Amino acid sequence: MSSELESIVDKVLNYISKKNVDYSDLRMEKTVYSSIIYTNGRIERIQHGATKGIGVRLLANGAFSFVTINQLDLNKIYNTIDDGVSAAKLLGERRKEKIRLMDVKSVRDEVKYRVLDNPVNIDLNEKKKVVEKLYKIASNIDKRIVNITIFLMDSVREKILANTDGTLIKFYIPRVRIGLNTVAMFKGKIGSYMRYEGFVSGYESIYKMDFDEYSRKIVSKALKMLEAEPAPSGRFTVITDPDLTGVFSHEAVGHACEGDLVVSGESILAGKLGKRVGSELVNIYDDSTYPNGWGSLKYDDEGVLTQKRLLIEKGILRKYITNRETAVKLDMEPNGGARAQDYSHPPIVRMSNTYMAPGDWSFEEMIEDIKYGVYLLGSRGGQVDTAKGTFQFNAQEAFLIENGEITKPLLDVSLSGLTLETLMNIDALSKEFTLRTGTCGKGGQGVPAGTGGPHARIRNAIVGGRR
Amino acid sequence: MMFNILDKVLKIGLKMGVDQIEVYGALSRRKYVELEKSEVKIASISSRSGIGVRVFKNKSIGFSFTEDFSEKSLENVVRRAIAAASIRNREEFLKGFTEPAKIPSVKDTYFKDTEELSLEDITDNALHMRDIALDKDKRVKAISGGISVSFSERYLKNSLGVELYSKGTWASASLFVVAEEIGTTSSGFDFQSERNHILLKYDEIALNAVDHAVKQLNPKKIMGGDMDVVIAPLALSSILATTFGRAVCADNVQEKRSFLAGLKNKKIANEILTIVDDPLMPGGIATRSFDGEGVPSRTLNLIENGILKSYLYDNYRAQREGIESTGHASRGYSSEPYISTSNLIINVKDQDTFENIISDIGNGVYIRWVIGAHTANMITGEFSVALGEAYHIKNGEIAYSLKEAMLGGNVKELLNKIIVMDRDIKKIGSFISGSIKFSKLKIST
Repeated sequence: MSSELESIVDKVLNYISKKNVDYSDLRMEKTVYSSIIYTNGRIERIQHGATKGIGVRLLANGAFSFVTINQLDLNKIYNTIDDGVSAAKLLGERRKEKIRLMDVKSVRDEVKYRVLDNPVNIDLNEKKKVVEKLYKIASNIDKRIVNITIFLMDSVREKILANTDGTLIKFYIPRVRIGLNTVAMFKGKIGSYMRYEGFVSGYESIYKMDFDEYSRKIVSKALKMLEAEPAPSGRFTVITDPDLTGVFSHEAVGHACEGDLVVSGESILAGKLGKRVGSELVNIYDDSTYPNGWGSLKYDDEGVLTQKRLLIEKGILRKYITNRETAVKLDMEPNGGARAQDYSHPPIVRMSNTYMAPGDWSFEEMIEDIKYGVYLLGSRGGQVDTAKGTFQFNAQEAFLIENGEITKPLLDVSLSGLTLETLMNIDALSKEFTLRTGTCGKGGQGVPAGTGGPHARIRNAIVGGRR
Repeated sequence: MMFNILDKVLKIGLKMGVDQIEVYGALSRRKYVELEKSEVKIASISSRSGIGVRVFKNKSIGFSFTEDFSEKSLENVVRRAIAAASIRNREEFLKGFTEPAKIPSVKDTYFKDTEELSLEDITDNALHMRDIALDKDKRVKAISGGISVSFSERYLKNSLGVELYSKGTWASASLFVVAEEIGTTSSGFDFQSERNHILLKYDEIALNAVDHAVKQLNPKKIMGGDMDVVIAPLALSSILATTFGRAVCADNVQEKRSFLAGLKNKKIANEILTIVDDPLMPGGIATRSFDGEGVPSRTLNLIENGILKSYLYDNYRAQREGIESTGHASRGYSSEPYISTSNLIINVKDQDTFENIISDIGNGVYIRWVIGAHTANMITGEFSVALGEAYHIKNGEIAYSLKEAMLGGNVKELLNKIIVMDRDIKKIGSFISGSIKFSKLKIST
C-alpha cells in the first residue's frame, strides 16, 4: 500500500516543482478504521472501511491556499493543484503583508509505533467479542442500570508528509479507544457516567485492561448520581480532580497560548510573555513528546520536530505554541504546534498533551480547611473565549465539601471564570497526576489531545448550579 | 456516472446473495476563504466523493463504504457490508430498506449561481466584510471569520426500486470581532447561513459583529439569583440542539438515554409551546425532499401545545415499534444513517415585540450566546453554561454587559418556564425561533 502512496507523492511533488510557487507541503493518507457501538446487548452501529486522499498546501505570491481531494486519479489531483495555485495567487494580490515561514531543517524519517495486535488484522467478530465481554461484566453489577453503551474504535493511519524543501516523513499510527457509558434510573431519578480509555497502540492495550474494575468504577459513579441534589450556585472554593485540572489547563490556558490566536489578537495572553499570569504554584506544559501520550507525535504536520513546551513556569508566562508562520510573527522558534485532523484539512496551531504539573499537598490537607465548597470530578468537555478570557467546563460528578469533608453528591455542574483571575486563585496542588485522552475541536477540526494534572484547589470560582 | 456505479454495486450484491441492498452515493465540493486579523488567511478548495453500501441479509443489516470505484473495490465493499451484517443478531421485526413512494418537492435548495460562485467573488466579499468592520469603529482590534460556499449531490438506489437524486447549495458568512479599549477587551460575532449566497447580508453581519463586541466593553458584575431571563435564538439553539434535539431521537429514547423516554403524549412544556420539525421549509438549511434512507420528508409536530407528540424515527427504530419512519435519517457516505432533526421551528402562542418583553422586566438578564452548551446532558436534561454574551436588564431596559455569569437548569424545567416570544423570528442555521422570555432561571455570578 505504502508504495502506492509514495509513488503518487513523488509525482505530485514533481508536478508542483514546475509550478511557480514559493513553498508547498502535502499530506497523503490512508486510514483503515472500524467503530462499533454496542448498546444494551446488541450492536447499535458498526462502521468500517478505509479512506484515502491528499491535501496540498501552496504558498504563492505570499499567500496560502489549500486543496484536497479523495479521488487519487493523477489528472484530477493535478487539476486540483492548478486551482490551488490560482487561488494562492489571487489571495496574494489582496494581501498587504506577505506570509513568510521560519526556515527549518528538512527531515527524512520514518515514525512507526509498535503494534502487536494490529487492528487491521483483527476481524469484526473478534472486536465484537471484546464489547460483549465488557457488556457482560457491566450489565451484571446492578439492576438500576438501564442503559449500557460501549464504544470501540480503532484506526491505523499511514501518512506521508512531504514538502518542497526536501522533507519526507512516513508515519504509521495505530490507535484504539474504548468507552463505557452507563445510565442508572431509580424512582424517577436519572444518573449517568461515561469514561473513555485510549491508546496509541494495537488491541494489546485493550486486552490488558481490567474490565471488571473499569466497569465497576463507572457503574458505581452512575449509581451515586441517583442520590444527587441540584448543585449550589455562586462563588465557592472548588477542588478539581486531575481530569478537570487537565481540562482547565487545556481550555483556559492552552488555547490562549496558541500562536495563531496570539498573533491575531484573539488571546488574553498576547503580550504577556515574561509576566505573571498565575500563582507561584502554577506550572503548565504542552508536551508533544510525552511517552505514549494520546496527543504525542514526533513531528508536527509541517515536519517540525516537536517538543515539551513549558507554557507557564511558577505563574510566569514563558512560551506560546507556534507553527512556522506564527514563529516569524512572534519572533520565536517554530516548536512543532502545526496539526491537522487529517489530509483533508490544512494544519493549524494546536495543542498536544496539556497538563498542570503536580504539587506536594495531600488531598486531605487540601480539603481540611474548606468550610463549604464543591468538589468537581470527570470531564464532560469545556469551551473558551480566548479573546475575553472566559472559560467553562462541565463535570460529570460533583460533591459538596462541608467542614473539611466530602458530603452530598450534586447533579452535574459547570465551573466558569476568567482565565487570569482563576490562575491567580489556585492555592494548592496535590501530589498525584494522571493524563487522559480526549479530542480537541478548533476551526472545524478534531485532533487527539491529552489533558492532565493533579487535584487543584481554586478559591472564589463560579459554580453554575441551579439551587 | 454515479448512478452507473450504484447499479454495478446493486448487481454485485444481489449476485452475492443478499436479500436487499441499498447504495448511497455522495459528492461534495466546498470553497472557503478565511480571514485573520486584517488579511485573508487561506483559501481552501475541497472535493470528496464516495459510496455507502448497506445490505440486508438474514434479518440483519450491514454497512461499509468506499471512495475507490474500481470493480475490485466495489466487490470488496459489498463483501465488507455482508461481513458486518453477519456479526449482528437476527432481528425478526426487521423489514429492510425503503419501499418506493411519492417524494414531495422542495423549494429553494439549489442555486446554480451559488454553485458556480468564483473564489474571487468569495474572497472580495470576505474582504468587504473586513473593511466594513474595520471602518465602523476604531476600537476594533482584530477580526476573523470567513465565507464558505458548498455544493453537494446525493444519489440513492435500493433493490426495492427506490432511485433518488438531489442536489443542493449552501453559503455561509461569519465574522468574529475583538474590540479593545484601555483596560478592557471584548469580542462579538455574527453569522448567516443560506442556500442562496445572494441572501447573505455581508454589511449587516460585519456591523452586527462590531456592535456586539463594542457593547460588551466595560462589563459589570451583578448579584446572582433567580430572575427573569430572555434568551436569544442563538443561545437557545445551542442549548436545545444538544439536549432536546438529541433526546427526541427514537434511538436515544428506546435505549433509555433520553430524558424524554416514556413521556410521549404527556405534557412536558408550557401549553403555549409548539415545536415543529419541518424538512419541507422553502430554502431551509436542512430542507430535503427525502431522507438518507429515501423516506419522503414530511412536517412533524414534536411538541404540540406543551404535549410531546412524536419522536424522530428512521427505518430501524420505526420497524422496532411497528410504525412508519418519520423520515429523519441523516447520513454521509461513510457512516450508517443516524437520526437527527431537520429544520426545527419553535412556536410560542404568546408573542410580543422585543422592546415590550424587555420593558416588562425589572431585574433580569438577556443572553445572546452561551459557552459550553455542548456539555449539556441529553440523558438527564441538566445544563450548566457560562454566559458568553449577556446583559443586565434593569428597570425595563438593557443596561450593560455582564462580566462573569452562569446559567444552570434542566431543559424540562426550562420548557415549562416559557412566558412569551419575540415576534421577530430569526433563522440560526436550521433553528428557527424568536427570543424567548423565561421566568425565574438561576443565574450565578
